Amino acid sequence: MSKKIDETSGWLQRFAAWVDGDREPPDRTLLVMERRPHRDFRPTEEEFERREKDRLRKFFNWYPIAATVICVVMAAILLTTVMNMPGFGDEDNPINNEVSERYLEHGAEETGSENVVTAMIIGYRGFDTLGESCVLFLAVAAVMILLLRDEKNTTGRELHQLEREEAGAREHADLILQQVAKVLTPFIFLFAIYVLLNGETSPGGGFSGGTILGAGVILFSAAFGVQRTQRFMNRRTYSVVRTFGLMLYAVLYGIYIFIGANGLPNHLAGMILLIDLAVGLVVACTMYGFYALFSRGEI
Amino acid sequence: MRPFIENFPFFSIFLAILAGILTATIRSGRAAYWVTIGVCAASAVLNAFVLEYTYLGDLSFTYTMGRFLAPYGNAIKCGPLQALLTTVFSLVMGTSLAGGRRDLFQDILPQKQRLYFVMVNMILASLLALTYTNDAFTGYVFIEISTIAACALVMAKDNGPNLIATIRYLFMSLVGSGLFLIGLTVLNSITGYLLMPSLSEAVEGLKVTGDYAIPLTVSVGLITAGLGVKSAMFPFHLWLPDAHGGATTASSAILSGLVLKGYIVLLLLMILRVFSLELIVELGAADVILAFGVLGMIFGSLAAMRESHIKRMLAYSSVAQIGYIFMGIGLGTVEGLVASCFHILVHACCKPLLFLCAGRLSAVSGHHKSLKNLRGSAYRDVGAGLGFTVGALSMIGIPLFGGFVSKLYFANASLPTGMTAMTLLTIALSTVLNALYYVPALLAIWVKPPAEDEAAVLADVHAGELAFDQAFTAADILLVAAIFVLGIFYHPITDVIEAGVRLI
Repeated sequence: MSKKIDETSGWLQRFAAWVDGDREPPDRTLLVMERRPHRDFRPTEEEFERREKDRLRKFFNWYPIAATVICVVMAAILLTTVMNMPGFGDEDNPINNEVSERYLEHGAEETGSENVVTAMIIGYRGFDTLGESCVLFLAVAAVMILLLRDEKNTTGRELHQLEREEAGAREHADLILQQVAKVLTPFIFLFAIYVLLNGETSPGGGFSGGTILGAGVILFSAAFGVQRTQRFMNRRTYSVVRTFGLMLYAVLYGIYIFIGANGLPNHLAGMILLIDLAVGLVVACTMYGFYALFSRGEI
Repeated sequence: MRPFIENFPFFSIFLAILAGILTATIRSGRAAYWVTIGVCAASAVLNAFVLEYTYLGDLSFTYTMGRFLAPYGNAIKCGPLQALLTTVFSLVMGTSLAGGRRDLFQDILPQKQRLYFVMVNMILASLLALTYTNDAFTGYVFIEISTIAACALVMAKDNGPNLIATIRYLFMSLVGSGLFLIGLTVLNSITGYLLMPSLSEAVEGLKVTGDYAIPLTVSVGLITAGLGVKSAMFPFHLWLPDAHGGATTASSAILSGLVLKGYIVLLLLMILRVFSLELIVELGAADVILAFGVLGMIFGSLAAMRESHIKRMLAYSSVAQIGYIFMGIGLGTVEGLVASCFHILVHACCKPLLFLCAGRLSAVSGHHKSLKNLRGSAYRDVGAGLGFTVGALSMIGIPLFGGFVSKLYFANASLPTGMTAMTLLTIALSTVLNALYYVPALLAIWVKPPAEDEAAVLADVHAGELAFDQAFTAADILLVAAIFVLGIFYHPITDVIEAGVRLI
C-alpha cells in the first residue's frame, strides 16, 4: 500500500489504488483550500509557482470575456422586461389596486398612524419589518464574530500600535472637529429624537431616526475619542440597548399578532410609537457597531 | 375564535427569534447551547402537534400575522406538508448541534460561542418562516436572514481558507437574493400583490388575457435562478464545497442538510401556490430545471469521485442530491414533487449524519481529513463508523434505507412523462457513480492500515478525542433510526406529503 503511485504508473495500479482509497489526486481547487504537503511527489517551488501563474493567467483571460457576456445578456433581458412593464405612474397600472387604496384611505384610522409609510411597514406588514430588524441585528453579530478582537485575529504588535495611535490622537486633538462636534452633537441628538417620536404623524420613524442617532454617536466618538464615548456607551450598555430594542419589538409585535389572529380586543394603541423607538435603537446600534468594530475591533 | 393549536406555527417562529435575541446576552457558550437545543426540541414538539392536527383533520389554515387579512397584511399558511418539514428541520437542527458539540466548542473561541448560537437560532427561525410563509416578500426577508446567518456559520471557525470560502459564499448568495428580489419586484409591478393567494389569482388573469407575457416569463426565470443559486443548483454550485467542506462539523451538517432545503421549499411554494405547475411547464422553466437537475446529479458525483478530502467529497455529493430534488421538480408533475419532498426529508437526515460521522472519524484520527489518513478509523469509534456506513448505503440507494425509497419514487414519477428513458438512465448512472465514491470511502474507514501508518496517525490524536462522545452517539442513533424509518415505514410519510401537496 505504501507503493509509490503517480501519473506514470499503469492504469491497473492506479485503479487498485483508487479502490483502496489510496489515491491522492493533484489538488485542483482554485485559490481556496489549504494545501496539504504531498506525500510522495512534490513539484519544486519554481515549477509550482509557474503552474499557479499559468492557471491564474488563463483564468484572468477568460474571466472578463465571460463576465461581459453575462452582463450584456442580463442587461438585455432586464431592458426588454422594463420596456414591456406597465409605465411609471399610469392610472390603470396593476399596482393601483384595492391594496394601495386601503393603505392610503384607511391607514390612519386602522393603525393609528397618520404617516402612511409607518402605517404600512409597522401596522400592515410589521412581520416583514421585524425580519428586517433581525437582519440588522444579525449583521452586527456577524461582524462581531469576524472582527471582535481575540487571540486569533490580533497580535500584540497590532494592539500596541493601536494604543500608540490613540494616544497620539488624544495629544494632538483636532480642534476644529471638536468645536464643531460640541455645537452639532446636541442638535443631532435632538433632531433624532424628534424624528423618532414623530414617525407616526410626519415623515420619519424608526429607521430614519435611528440612522441620525447613530450618526450623532459616531460623530461624537470620532471627535472626542474612545474613552469619552465609553463613559456612556461601553460594551455592556451597547449590548443591553441593542438586545432590549429588538426584544421589545419582538415581544410587542408577538402579542399584537396573537391578539389580531385570535380576534381578541386590541389594547395596544400606543404600540407604533414604542416599536418605532425600538427600531430606532436597533438601527442606531447597528450604525455605531459597524463604525466601532471596523475602526477599532471593539465596542 | 380559532382553535388554540393554530397558534403553534407562529409560536415556533417567535420562539426561535426570541431565543436568537436572548442568546446574544448569555455569557456562557454552554448555556446558549442548551437554550438552542431546548428551542429546537420545543419547536419540533409544537410542529408535530400541528402535523397531527392538520393531517387528521385533512385541512390547511391561514394565520394572519397581525390584525389585517390578506392581501393587506402578512400571513402564514400551514398544511400537513409544511408541518412535516418543519418538524423534521427542527429535530435535525438540534441533532446536528448535539452531534457536532465537541468540535464546535473546540473550533470557536469561548467569547464568540454565544454569537454562533444567535446564528443557529435565527437560521431555525428563517427555515420555519420560509416553510410557512404565505407572503412572497416575507420569503425574501427571511432569505436575507438565512444568508447572513449561514455565512456566519461558515466563518465562525476562523481560519484563512474559511474566510475566503465565506466571501465566495456571500457573493454567490447575494447574487441569488438579488435575482430573487428583482424577480419579485417585476412580479409585484405586473400583478400588484405580494400575498401568494392574490398573486396566484392575478397570474391566472394574466395568463388568460396574455398581458405582460415577457415580464411574467422573466420573473419566473429570475425567481427560479435566484433560489437555484442559493440552493446550489448545478452550474451555480461552485461555492458549496469550500463553504461546507471547511466549516466546523455542526455548521456543515446544518448548511448541507437544512439551509439549502429552505430555499427549495420556498421555490416549491412559489411554483405550487403562485405560478401553478401548468405555467411552469408551459414556459419551459420545468425543462430547464430538469436539465440542470440531471446535469447536477452526474457532475456533482463526478466531482465527488475526485476528492480525497472527506468533507469536500460529502459537499459535492450534496450537489448531486440537490440535483435529484430539482429533477423531481422539473418533471412538472405532482408525483415528481412528492418524490422531491420525500428526498428533501431523506437528504435532511442523511447528510447531517454523514457530516457528523465524518467529523467524529476525523477527530479520532488527529483531525486529518483525507481518506488515506482515516484508514481504520471506524474501529476507533464504531458508532461513527456504523453511522457513516448507514448514511453512505442510503445515499447509494440500497433497499431498507431511506435513499432507496426516494429513488423508487423518482423512477415512478418519471414513468408517465415524456422524459422516462433519460430520467431512468440518469438515476441508474448516478447510483453507480454514488457507489463508486462511497464504497471506497467505506473500505477506507473499515480496512485496518499497516501498523506503522496507524501509529503515525495516532501520534496526532489527543487522548481526550478518543473518549466516548455521548452527545454524538445520541445524535448518531437518532439519525440512523430516522433513515431506517424513512426506508421501511415510508407509506404514512408519503401519504402526509401527498395530502400536503394537495392542500398546499
